[in-house]
Amino acid sequence: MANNSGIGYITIDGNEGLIRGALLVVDVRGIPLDFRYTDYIKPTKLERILYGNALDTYLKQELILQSLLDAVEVEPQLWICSDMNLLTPLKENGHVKAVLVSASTRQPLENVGSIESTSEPNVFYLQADGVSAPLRLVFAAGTRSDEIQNSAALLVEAAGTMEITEPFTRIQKALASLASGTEG
Amino acid sequence: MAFEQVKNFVSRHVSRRIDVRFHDVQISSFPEIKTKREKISVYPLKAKTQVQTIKPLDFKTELECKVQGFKFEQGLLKVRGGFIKLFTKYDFKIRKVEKIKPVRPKNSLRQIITIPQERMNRIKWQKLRPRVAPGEMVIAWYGPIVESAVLKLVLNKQAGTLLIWYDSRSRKFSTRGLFLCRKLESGSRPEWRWV
Repeated sequence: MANNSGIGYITIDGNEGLIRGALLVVDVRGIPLDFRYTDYIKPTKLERILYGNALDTYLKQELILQSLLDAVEVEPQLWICSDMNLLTPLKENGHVKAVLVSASTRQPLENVGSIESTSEPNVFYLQADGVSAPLRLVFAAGTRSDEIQNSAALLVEAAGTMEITEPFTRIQKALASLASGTEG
Repeated sequence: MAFEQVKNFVSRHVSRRIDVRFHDVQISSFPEIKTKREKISVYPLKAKTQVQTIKPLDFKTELECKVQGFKFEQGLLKVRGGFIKLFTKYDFKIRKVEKIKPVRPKNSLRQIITIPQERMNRIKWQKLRPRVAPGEMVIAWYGPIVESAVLKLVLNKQAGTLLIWYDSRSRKFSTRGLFLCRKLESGSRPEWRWV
């Protein structure tokens, strides 16, 4: 892999009407290349009434996600998200492949690089390295098999130099640090 | 009557007798005793007011209060009110609710570069073991780590994790693992070994 390629991590979270998002693009060593975040969005009472149940989807999928994707300057080869609801819009608007990655407690697969389908559609287990349990991958509906294979290969390559899910923790730490800095 | 009087006089003085008369006293009928009961009718003192239609109503002149046929005098009732005026001119503005504005993401790459990466102890998964001297044991393995790019390593003793600060300008990519070994002697310090 060229050393200027990267993996993008995107997270949008919040509750009680306070939602914010952040993305981090890292190289295969986990070194940050681009980091963008939004302030908290707090819809007014009137907006909550008018948007109703669609408010959460609108804020997360259209407003915050699109704003983050528009702002990013270093395009990754693969987007990794932690929210199922972001998969499809990320695949449609992110211009590159998107996958939801989470740790699993499954027994290790035979070899590093092994990929195993599950009974759930678009859900796979990937043995990304030899020192952890397989990763659970979820792809958006309609993802082609060659895209799945390419994504898995990229994750295996990155797992040789970094921990795949670790950047999510760093994003949270950075956001907490920024919030405390703002408050202070 | 005179004869009777003469007879009584003679009898009383001559024979020393007087007529004793008996009269049977009989009460033919007792007086009728009647209980004096009065029937009291209670009527609610409540006016029935019916609203027949919604229209401007002059309460002062048209309101009528009746209880069991008794009509109150208008002067006894104090009714406040007046004509209900219908709005003919509305005083408000129509305001447009703006769509929630798009957010402008901030760039804080400098901030996140200072935050270290964190590696968990994966000794239970690591099959390789470094050569250890007798009386020495491996207690942790952290990896993968790009050794040549490392600026600083710190062991988080509470969490058992390794914090890694990389030099972001480094162009090195080859990785190694870091074992933490310790001699089974009192007072011995843990020892790091790159493998």
